[in-house]
Amino acid sequence: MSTLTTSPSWQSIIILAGFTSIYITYIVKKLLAAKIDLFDFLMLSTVALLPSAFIFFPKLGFKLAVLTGISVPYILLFSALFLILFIICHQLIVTCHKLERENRLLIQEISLLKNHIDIHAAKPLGQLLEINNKNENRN
Amino acid sequence: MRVPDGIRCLLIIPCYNEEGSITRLLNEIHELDAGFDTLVVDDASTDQTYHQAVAYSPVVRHLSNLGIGGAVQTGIKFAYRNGYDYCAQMDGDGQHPPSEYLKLITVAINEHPDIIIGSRYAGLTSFKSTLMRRLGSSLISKALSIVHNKVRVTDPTSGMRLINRRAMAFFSCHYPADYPEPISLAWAFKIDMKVAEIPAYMRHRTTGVSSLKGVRKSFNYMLRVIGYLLISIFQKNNFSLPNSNN
Repeated sequence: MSTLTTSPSWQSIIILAGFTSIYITYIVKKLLAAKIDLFDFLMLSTVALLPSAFIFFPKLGFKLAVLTGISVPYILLFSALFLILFIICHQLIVTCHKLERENRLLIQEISLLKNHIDIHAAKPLGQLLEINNKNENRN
Repeated sequence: MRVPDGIRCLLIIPCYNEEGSITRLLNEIHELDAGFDTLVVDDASTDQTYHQAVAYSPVVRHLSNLGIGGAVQTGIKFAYRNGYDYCAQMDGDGQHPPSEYLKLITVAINEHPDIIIGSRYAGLTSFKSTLMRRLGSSLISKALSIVHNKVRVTDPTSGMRLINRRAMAFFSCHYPADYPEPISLAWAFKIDMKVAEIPAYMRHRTTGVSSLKGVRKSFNYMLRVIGYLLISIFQKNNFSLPNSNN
């Protein structure tokens, strides 16, 4: 077990190094094109950087596993990855609900504005001012 | 009987694909000639609802479907911003007879509650809803009464309701998107609004299909509403009556 956890195979190192470099390049491009923000970049890059840390610095992973009382470092790795994914999902849900609320408000306001324009388009300015004053007095 | 002079009351009619009933309903309101203004809120219908309604009434048309909560809130915003004294929600399927709203406005003027509900279960027995619906309504009513320790509302899911300007000010800012009738009552109780209920006659739906047809859907509705009612206990800090006209 100790050999397995402290000495990753060269195949693993090559695959992970390839994946990390391609993936990080891809999301850096997205960041530079302003398609994702810095927080998204940090969260998404962790998905590649965390396994790399465990592979390239196996002793670090082993020490962390001992520190947290988890016998196999890879369980710790997958737990950390799961946590990151959970945080990303949480952020997405919050953002979705915020967008939903804003979308609802926008649809309502656009519809009311269109109705207002349709009703008042043909009225002279003096009459419009009178209506506005009347509504303001009531409110 | 008419709406008293000097009082402006808007009937908000939220609609989604109600081409089979909207013309008849608007005609009925015009024939009643009770002094109500009307506003049809077309919630992005895919049929001829908008084209039929616009011949009889002002219509606000949503760009995409927001559901009943979003449609009613649009109407409340319109009423509040245009200086109406009262506004009332009326189903577009013709279940709510326009003449019943005169009873609601009479109570509103004489007793000054913030919300008046037309109840299917408070006295009149002419409306026979399904067992599941009655059971659900009763459970939601009990949950509402327990959660907010207020006077029991017999028909918390009734869409026949009239509100004054105080309630309009609140609901134009805060109105639930899901299950709006019972949840809006819970929110109203949270800020100590006065809620009254009177017996009201309602007709059976003649066109379209209820969104709560079937035991599973009704049960689902009931559970979710009770869940939202429980959540509403902890929502006090989010609510306040706005000072501005928004």
